[in-house]
Amino acid sequence: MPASRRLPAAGALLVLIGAAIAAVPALVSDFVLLQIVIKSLWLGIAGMSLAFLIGQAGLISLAQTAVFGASGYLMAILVLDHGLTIWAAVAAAVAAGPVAGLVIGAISRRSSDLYLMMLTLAIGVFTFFFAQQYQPITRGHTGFNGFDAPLLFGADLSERKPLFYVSAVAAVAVVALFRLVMRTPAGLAFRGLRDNRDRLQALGYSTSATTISAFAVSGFAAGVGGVISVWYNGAISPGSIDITRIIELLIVVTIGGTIRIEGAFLGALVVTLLRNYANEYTNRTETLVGAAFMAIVLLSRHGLLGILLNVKSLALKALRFFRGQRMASEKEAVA
Amino acid sequence: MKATGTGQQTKATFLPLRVDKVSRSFGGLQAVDQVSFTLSVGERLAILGPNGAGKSTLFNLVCGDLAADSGRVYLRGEDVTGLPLHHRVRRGLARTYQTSSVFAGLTVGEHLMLAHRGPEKGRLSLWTRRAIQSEAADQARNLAEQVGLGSRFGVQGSELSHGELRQLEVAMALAAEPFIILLDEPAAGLSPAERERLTALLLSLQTSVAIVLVEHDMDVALTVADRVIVLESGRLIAEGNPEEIEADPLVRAVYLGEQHGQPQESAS
Ligand SMILES: Nc1ncnc2c1ncn2[C@@H]1O[C@H](COP(=O)(O)OP(=O)(O)OP(=O)(O)O)[C@@H](O)[C@H]1O
Ligand SMILES: [Mg+2]
Repeated sequence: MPASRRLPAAGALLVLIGAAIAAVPALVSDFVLLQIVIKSLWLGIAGMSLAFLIGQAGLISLAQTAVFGASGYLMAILVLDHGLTIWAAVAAAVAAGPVAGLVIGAISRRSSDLYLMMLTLAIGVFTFFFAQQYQPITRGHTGFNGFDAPLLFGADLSERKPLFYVSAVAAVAVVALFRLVMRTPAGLAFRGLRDNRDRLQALGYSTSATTISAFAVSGFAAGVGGVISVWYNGAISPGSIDITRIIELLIVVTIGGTIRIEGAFLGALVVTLLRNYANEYTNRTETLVGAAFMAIVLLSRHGLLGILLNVKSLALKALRFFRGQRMASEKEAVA
Repeated sequence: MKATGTGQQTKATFLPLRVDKVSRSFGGLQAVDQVSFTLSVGERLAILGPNGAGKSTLFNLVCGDLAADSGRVYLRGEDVTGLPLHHRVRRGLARTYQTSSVFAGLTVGEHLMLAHRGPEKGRLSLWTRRAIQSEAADQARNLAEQVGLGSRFGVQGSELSHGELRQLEVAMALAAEPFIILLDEPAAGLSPAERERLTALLLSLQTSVAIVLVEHDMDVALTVADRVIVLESGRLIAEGNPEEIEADPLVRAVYLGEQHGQPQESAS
């Protein structure tokens, strides 16, 4: 399809998304907006960095929390300990995402599959311990508290509505950016790496460079997620990046599925909903999260989104079938 | 050899490929044993030999898929023995695999784009330049037509038949616009019509491209080749033009004698 014809469609989609975003605060309670929607947005953004790595490049990383933490911590450190202006710190923190991704990619550039998981797990756990124990920089296990979210055009991002709008716009922007990257030469190389790394090398690509590049791109989302999470929580501590968070990201991505990067938002929403509401019915919330995780893995290799897409394609098939039937009977009637 | 003489020659005057006494063993098995050969500009060289003779291993040594135990490989006069696979490919070497190896989730068109960019600097670019992109897409489409995959352009690797995978292998090698193509049994498992198309395609390639062909199908091999080398148990046992090779008693004994004429199948 030529770009000129695609442009209005993209514009229409953007207007639609904009309208949907604008409508959300009016549709849900303040509690839901803060506890469910905004939380799902930043968790989804962070999850998308892993969904991108797995779904596009076939790299299962357990170190995305390290990127998330690097950005979040950097912003907190720059503002609270070095008195940097908030937006300068935000810019540095967002830039730190791809840089941290690059470093992790460089460390793991030669590994894949199980070994990559072990290596990145080690990086994730190391980062946690570093945050916990390197007091002079990270303030140890208490971390940073009392972080004030910035003002943006006079709107205070520590209030829920402005924070929601900014998070939603950030989510759309990160999705758009990833979708753009997926169409570039690098995006194609990532998928080549995912499907057949030896063959990719035999076409002239360095699998190391491709791996590093994929980690760097994915780091952007983890960094943005980390920044918004600090605005949201007003704090960051080793608990924000410990092993349970590593697993949480994995669950988010598994529930959401990785065939579409946007699945991460669905996964984040499910996890957030379960965490918030399940305790009204049971005090074994985490067991329930685990059960949901297992159920989805058993039901579909491509997560909840995969199930939904399947339903959609089934529905379309059914629709086409019935339409065909009707057209056939109309033809008969005409004849 | 002629190309390494004066030291003042430009790159273009070097032989595209010179293989100098390469060897490789697997455990106690000497798969390739002190094999030397050269390839001149635009030449079509066929490598014959029975199953297990070491033909694919020789390809692996030339490309860098495997490291040689000893011996050296020169591309356009440059010693590439220590270079990894992807660096040799960037220097203009392309190969196909005996067992088709493709990307399950990429379309035929994407395979060709990926292969086309492989030797280029912008292979990992995070920027899509429209003009270049559409030019590459056109090229990919033409190439797909040429190998007979025109109607399968948007189909994913996982959906292709065996014959289509063989054609895609060849198309990927061509997409890189190499100056040497190594084809490892490209006709294996193809239908007679597909073989004919492949032969025609290979014959139609520009003479700026040199071809090394491993092929059990004699019709394809001897139609395309100007020169033949024969391997047996890892050793080079004969070299000559197609007529000489067919007449060589040693060759007939180890290889052609038993197998010539039968459409011997080695699709693995
Ligand atoms: N990676 C490997 N590890 C161990 N042995 C190997 C390996 N690759 C090849 N061999 C052995 O080396 C010998 C040469 O194999 P090669 O695949 O090069 O033969 P070929 O001439 O290509 O045969 P074919 O006509 O069957 O393709 C065979 O005995 C094979 O079993
Ligand atoms: Mg072989």
